[in-house]
Amino acid sequence: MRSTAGMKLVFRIGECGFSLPVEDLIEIRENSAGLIDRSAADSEGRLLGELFHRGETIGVRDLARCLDIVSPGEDHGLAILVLAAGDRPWGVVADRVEGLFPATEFTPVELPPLLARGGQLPYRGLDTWRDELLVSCEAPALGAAWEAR
Amino acid sequence: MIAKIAMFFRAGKGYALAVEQIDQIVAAPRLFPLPLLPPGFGGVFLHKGEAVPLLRLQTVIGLDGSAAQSPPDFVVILHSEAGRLGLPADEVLSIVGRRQGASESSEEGGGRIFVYEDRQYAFLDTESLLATLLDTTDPEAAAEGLKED
Repeated sequence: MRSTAGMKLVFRIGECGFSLPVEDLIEIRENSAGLIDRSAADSEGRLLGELFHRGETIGVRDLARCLDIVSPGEDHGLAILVLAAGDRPWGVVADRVEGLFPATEFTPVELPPLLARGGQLPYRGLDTWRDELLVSCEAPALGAAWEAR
Repeated sequence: MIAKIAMFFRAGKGYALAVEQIDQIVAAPRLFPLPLLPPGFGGVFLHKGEAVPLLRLQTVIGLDGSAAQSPPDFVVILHSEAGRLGLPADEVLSIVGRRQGASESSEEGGGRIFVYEDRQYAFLDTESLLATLLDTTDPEAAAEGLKED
């Protein structure tokens, strides 16, 4: 069995591609839109609802709204990524999951100084992967960005 | 002292740049959207392993309509104190000596224009334009960034 250590997840929300260290990922639940209990959604739309995950209920956060991304939403192979950050796991919705890939396939690229904005963005860098630029993100920073919105 | 001026078209409007600010002109690079970009930027592209932001020209030279939203045929890569940046162009017109045309005040918005063979080109001073874009999200203030060199 191949180890997943040192691998990265590639997923998409709308037109944006993201890479995430596999250490920040607990589980991927594909085609899972129907599993979200949307009665728990908040009025501001930041929390899409709740998901029953390994014996507990976790919040599913709307990362697209948090990051101002236009997402095609439920019609596009919705997947829930259960992330490990903070006291308890939480979920985010992705439009598409490309898979897990060795970290050696990714080359870090610095954010352009013009865009770094003194660290205000919820991501610190980019990755090139197969001729594509991805947002290099980590679950704690995404969680903090969601909390701040 | 600016010796030469390069002129470009984007969505039917012309703009001009000092040649010494130009690093390279490349054909239609692949653009990648990034979350939470400042409104003056339309994405990033890869250039020699570096992520370079693409500036929007909509507010700067008064573009409107779908042509201004379309992917550019060329990108003019400039260097600035804040790093490289790209400007979209549909046509690369010509490079002329500054004395072959005339630099005048614009009647609209107080910026500068370069007049060559009876056509007007918004003269873009990259540093002041960038300073304004990074300071504010106000399109009118961004247009004020066009100043004489």
